[in-house]
Amino acid sequence: MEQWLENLAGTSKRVRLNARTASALVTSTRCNARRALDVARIDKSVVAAALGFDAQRGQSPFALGRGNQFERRVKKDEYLELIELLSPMGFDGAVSDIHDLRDDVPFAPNNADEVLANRAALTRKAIVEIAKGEAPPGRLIDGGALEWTIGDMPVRLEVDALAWWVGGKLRVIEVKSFPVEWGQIPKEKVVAASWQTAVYVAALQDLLQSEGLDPSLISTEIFLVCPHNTGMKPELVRHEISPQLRLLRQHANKQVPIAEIADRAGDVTIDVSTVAPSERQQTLRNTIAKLGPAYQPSCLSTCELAGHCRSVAQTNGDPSVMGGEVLQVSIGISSLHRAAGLLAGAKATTDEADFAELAADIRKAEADVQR
Amino acid sequence: MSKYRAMLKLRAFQEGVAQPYRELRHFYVADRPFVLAYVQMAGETFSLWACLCGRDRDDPYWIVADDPRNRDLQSEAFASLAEVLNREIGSSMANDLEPLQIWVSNAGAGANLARIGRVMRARQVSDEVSLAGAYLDLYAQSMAAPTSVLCMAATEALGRQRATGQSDFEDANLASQLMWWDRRVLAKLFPGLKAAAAKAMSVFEAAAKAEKLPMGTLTSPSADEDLDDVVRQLGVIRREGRTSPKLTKQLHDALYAQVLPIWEAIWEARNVVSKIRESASASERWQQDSRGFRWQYDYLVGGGKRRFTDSPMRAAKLLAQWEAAQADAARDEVAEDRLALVEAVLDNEAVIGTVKKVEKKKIGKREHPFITLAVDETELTKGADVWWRDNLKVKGCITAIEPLKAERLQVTIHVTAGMTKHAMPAVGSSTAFITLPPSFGVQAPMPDNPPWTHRLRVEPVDDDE
Repeated sequence: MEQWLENLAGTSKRVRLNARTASALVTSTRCNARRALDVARIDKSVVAAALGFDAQRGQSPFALGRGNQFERRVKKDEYLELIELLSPMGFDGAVSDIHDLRDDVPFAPNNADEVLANRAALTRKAIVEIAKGEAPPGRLIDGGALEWTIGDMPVRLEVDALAWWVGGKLRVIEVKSFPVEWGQIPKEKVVAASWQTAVYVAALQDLLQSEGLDPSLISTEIFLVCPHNTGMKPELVRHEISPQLRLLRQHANKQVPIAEIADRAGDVTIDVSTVAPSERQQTLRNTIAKLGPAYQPSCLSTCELAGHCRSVAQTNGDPSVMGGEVLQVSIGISSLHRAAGLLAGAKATTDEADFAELAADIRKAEADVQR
Repeated sequence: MSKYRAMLKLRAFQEGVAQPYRELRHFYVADRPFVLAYVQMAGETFSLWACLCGRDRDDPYWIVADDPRNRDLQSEAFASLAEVLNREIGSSMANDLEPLQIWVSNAGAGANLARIGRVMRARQVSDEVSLAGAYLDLYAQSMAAPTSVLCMAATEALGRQRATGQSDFEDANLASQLMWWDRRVLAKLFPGLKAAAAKAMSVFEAAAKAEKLPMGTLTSPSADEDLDDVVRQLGVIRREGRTSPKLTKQLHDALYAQVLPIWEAIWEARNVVSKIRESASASERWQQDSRGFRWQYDYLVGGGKRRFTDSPMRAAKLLAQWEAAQADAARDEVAEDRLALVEAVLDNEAVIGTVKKVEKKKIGKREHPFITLAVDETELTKGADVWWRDNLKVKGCITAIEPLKAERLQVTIHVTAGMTKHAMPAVGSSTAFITLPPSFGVQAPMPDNPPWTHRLRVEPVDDDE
């Protein structure tokens, strides 16, 4: 399996997973192509560009700057403001024992994998100590890394978060630079943060389990630390992520095993460096098609290859291109072109009977109102 | 989305052009709206970076904050916007004209007006800025009321009229949705592109090109890479007490290039929908909007303050009002618009038939009118309340549904209210009855002591910071 993934990636550019991409990997169960490419850690934006689709990805430098600025503020003066926020929750700031693993194992661009592996080992040790009650009560872990097995594939996550011990529970704290606006966080922001932190909680639960410790020591109520209103003063929001955690676990169990995707796809690769330039795009298109893509409109905001997949789906008249209700009414329909034909009155097969009936109702109603 | 709309989307996909979803336009469009095209700096939820606004497409106001993270620069931009907005709103209200109708690109751009409005109030720069902030908040909040058109999102205006052959997600990009109306518009959004070249593209190609344009409130991330450099350099120069006209122009030009397509696209959308004939009830609803705005305006210029959050009781009342207004508007649409009737029939909210008989039958001492319809098909059942589409005052109840020859059905309607000699369907005519009930416009009574679900957990927040 490792070999198949190696061959799939070849010499193409690789990326590391973070919690956002990891949760997307788990929840996008429908798309086998994306799953295979992500597990092989292939940079999909490079593939998209090779296919002639410019994937506008990546965060704006302004957004990144704000995020960093806010994080610096939260951690300034030995995490002063953070500890102030945590104290009313029962955190023992007086005996704080802060581990900044970024200092212990500094980031090295040439050796990112090793850095992460070292941080993951340190994180594991620190967490286990907390869980066994061997650590001081005010322990904070910053810049940790977690190893998590999604379905059958282990991934290593850089955790830009902190774990903390109070009242017999370990907490995940996530620092986000979007504001709490007069007591509220916009829903889409909360949802995105919930998925991301659910991945951390799942990884921590599995970590404890593997050490023979009680996974329920990890609280499913996480702490979001965000700027208050229009300023930069941090505010703490408690948020329950058990719904996302439950779905994440369900999805993880439903994953099509990579072995199965590999069996179906056969010997394919995204590495087209040895192919004649004029044939590269076609080769890539074939490879992706064999991996079993499943386009839907939401891919446009989550996957770099969406532009390519949409174009293929449009050409084929795949009913999923319009999503939602259109997909629901098109049950039994092979393509949108066929659906339009039936709507115009073409003779239906048995599979198409439901759709044809609806089409007839519409033609009838349209004729009736003209009278 | 209804089945009807889904089917129209299928047709649009096949034809490569948006399909009419309504024959008429059921919302008011001002002759001279106030268009507000703006961008914010990524991550800065409350910022106003650059904005083209005004009522004249060829002569907009141009407002920029070189770095919205700098309080002074941001405040200057707020003051400029406040001046324009207060003048336009003030003059139309003082002269007893209709309120300003504001147009933004999409729902997100509308929602973020409330955020900009809030920070304009919270920073307390000046009374003018606070007042303009309250206006923006008011306009943005009005979008939550389903029948209000004080603030229009251009994407929604288009979507109310026609269905495209792409997903709702793609429709949220105004430029992309416009391609389904007219691909030639692409030439107005991309300088250097000829209208003929745009027309020669497939609608999918045109939409894919159009969606590269930022149409929400953020500049494109690729543009940000360059903007970041310029903003940083200008910051250094500013802190040294110097200026750089060259760099400032470079920044302004780059921002202008981001905002101009939004400005143009909003006008295009406004123009295409304004050409569609307006329904009779649209102006009634606009009158309601106008009265509501007049009240709020008087309150605000009289020194009143808008709350940042509503109490649960007030929220419940508002929601009830909105729902009632929406229910009435939906009835009006079905009564006024044949395509809305098609949708209602498919959703089992209306029945079309031929009038067989209009007769009086004695029930007890009094005579009651009955209407008999012959219909091809209906899933309505005995006991359903119905209203006559040609005169919604005429109310009845289905008392029998019996089979006729050739699989047709006979529907008997007992008319219980509103029927006069002048309001009566003619025998032999084709007519329709709808099942959508009127809202009655009556508010449910609110308890003095609300249940825990409608009590405040925290006191509503007024201006803070």
